[in-house]
Amino acid sequence: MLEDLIKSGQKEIQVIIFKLGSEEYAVPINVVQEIIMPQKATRIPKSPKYVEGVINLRGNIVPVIDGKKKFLLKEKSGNSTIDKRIMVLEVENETTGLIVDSVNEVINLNINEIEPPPIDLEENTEIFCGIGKYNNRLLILINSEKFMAINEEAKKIEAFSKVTEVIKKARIAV
Amino acid sequence: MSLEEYLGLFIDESKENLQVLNGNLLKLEKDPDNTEVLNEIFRVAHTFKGMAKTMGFNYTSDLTHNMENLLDPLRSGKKQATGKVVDLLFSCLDKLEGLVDSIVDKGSEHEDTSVNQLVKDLQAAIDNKETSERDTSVCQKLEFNQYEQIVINEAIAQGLNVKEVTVCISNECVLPGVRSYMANSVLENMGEIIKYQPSVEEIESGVFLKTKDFDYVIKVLLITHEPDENIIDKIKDISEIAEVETSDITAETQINQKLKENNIEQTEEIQQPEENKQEDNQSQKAISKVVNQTIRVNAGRLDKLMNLVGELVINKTRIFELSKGLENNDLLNSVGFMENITGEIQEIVMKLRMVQVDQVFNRFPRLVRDISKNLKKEVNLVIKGKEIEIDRAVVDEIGDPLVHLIRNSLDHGLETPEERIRNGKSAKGTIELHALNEGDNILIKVIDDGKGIDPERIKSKAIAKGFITEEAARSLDESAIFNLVLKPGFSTVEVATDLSGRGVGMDVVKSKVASLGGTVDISSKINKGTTVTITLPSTMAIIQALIIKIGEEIYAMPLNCINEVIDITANQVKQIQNKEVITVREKTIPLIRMPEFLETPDYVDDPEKPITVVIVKSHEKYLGISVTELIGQQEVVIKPINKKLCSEHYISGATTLGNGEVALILNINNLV
Repeated sequence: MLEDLIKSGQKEIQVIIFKLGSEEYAVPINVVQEIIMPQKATRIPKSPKYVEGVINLRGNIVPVIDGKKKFLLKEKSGNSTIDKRIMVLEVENETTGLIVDSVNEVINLNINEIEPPPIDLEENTEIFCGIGKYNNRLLILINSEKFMAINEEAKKIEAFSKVTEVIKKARIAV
Repeated sequence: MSLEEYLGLFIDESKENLQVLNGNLLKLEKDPDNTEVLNEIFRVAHTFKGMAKTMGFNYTSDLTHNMENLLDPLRSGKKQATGKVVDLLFSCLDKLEGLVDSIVDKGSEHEDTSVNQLVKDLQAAIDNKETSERDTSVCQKLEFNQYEQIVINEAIAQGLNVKEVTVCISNECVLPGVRSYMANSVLENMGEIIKYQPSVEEIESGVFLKTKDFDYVIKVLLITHEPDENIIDKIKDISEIAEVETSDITAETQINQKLKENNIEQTEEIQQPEENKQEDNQSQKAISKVVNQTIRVNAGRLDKLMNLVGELVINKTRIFELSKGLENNDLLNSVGFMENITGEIQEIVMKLRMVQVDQVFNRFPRLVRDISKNLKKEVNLVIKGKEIEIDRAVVDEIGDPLVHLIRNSLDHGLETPEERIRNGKSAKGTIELHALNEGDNILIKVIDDGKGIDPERIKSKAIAKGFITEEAARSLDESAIFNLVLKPGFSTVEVATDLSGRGVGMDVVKSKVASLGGTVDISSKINKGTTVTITLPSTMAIIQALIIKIGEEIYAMPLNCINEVIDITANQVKQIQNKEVITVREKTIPLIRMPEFLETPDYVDDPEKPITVVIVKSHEKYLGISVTELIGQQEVVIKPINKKLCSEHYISGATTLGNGEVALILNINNLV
């Protein structure tokens, strides 16, 4: 995906920054259909734990997944839930909601400021496009197609947590 | 606009035209002299040619052009549609289908030299005069189609004369076309012409009727007041006219003709009752009228519209609730009015999704024709109830199972003509395809009058394959035995034929139908025939549902599989092999405790309270489902949910309730 961006000759991409736990993530704005307030979801029995359920979005039944639960990120204690939002993403013609801790801003990210994922994750890097640098902030760029998949492998989740760890350290070093 | 943009339209129309062509060719085969059918075939070929030319599909236009050339003499009666000719037209149709398919796939025709071969065949058929040319003698009468008959009757009723005028132009005439034209215009001045033979276009291209003595003969059917002498005199005034004859057409001649037609039909189609056929014709006419009044709509937009209407209904309910609190009569009135309108809109939108089963059925006459020819069996396919409406989603899916069933009937069900005669049946077998409404369901029956299924054979086969034990087999009733056929891997035919017998047929039918929320049932009598009944919900989009509470969560269950609801006490639940069962009217029914099964959070079981059990039935099996509370019966709109979310498929979809919340719909078929 990063290569595609470079090939396309675009200088900047517009991304939405959101938070899961303490880290900042970004997705290209064109996959975000809308951002809505959290609402009560109907539980689906025997579905994966991170599937919060389904909600009624203007007559369409939309599954909602909990980003933090999906990627095994720790719930930070005392975190306020006021900023919680559901980002409705449209990926490969499927609409899925993603519960995030907050949606912060929309920025233009310079392509040159995006680096490939920092560590060797073998083939499991496909969830990420890379790390974006923006005003001394490190943003984890998400490949939404892989990120939102409902039946992903455990390995990828592991890779995800690893990257998150690395970013954390990098940020402390900065 | 580029041609690309017309491609979709071309494909749609081509498919429709192919279907019309197919249907009419089948009719032609039965009734080779039917000019109406020939005209329709010609018209379709012509339209096809025009469209293909515009789009630059040369093979298609070339092929249809040559079909036209062959059809033209057929329709003017100069050639007869022999079996050979019809077969040739059928292979043209197949080729056209192939070409259209490749256009669908690749947007262009595939290079196909076999088209040239077909074109050669067509040209050979056109030139071949011996086999197909008709005996053209002067006594050949004009034939009338239905419309013309009506006009004739009308004219006679009004006291006008109807005359058949035969004009023979001398053989030496250099421009017979001009002479005939002059004769026509003379006749036109004397009355109303209802039929030319040959047609004006044919005369223009130099085609005439022939007699022993004359090469250029035309016949005209004229409604007039003028006496015969006047007509003859006036035409004889034209130079190079050698002979003129007139003869009166009376009501009597028509009756004779009708009788003759009836005789033909009766001798040709002993199997098919007359009424039936007429009914068919009528319904077909009705359909073609309906088709003319339709427009094509993108299916996605329809779905969206339905979604929005669903939302509208929900919001209306909320406004209604709110306005009740305000106690404003004007407001209540207008909300009530709105309620009626939204209800009507919803109903119409639902109906938009319905299409006639004819869309599926119309491919079967051809299928049956081809297979029966292949198997050398004689079959009469009777189709009933093709005007029954069914959800579009079902129509798309039900075709393949029906193909399977019909192939089975043809291959295994019906006997060869010799065998049938030996068994005291008529040589021609009958397969009936019958759609009918029954309550909220639609039944599609495939009925054959073949040899039937031997329950003993099924039993021994099932035992040999290890599906059931001998003991269990003994206690099975007949219908249960027949339904063993539906099990995967079951096939009683030792040798797999080209058509069926690989043991993958019936269970595929069953699972496909089950995925549509329907059931399959088989009944059979040895030597009398087999009936396979497919029961389907009439709509996929809306079902009657029982709304229930499990713990604090709300679910919907399709009403059509609910047998009854009972209250039991905890001590009525017994254990058999570690499974809970209950006994209802001496039947032992397994019980599923839903809160546990669905892992409902925060559910506390109260052993003192009576348990509400919903008894459901699916595939002849019963199951008790314990629920916490019954809420009521309601029409719900089924909405699909992401299949990956419910890996075990006991949720078939979701629906939105009046308050906007989502309730899941339990898939009973997969629970049982």
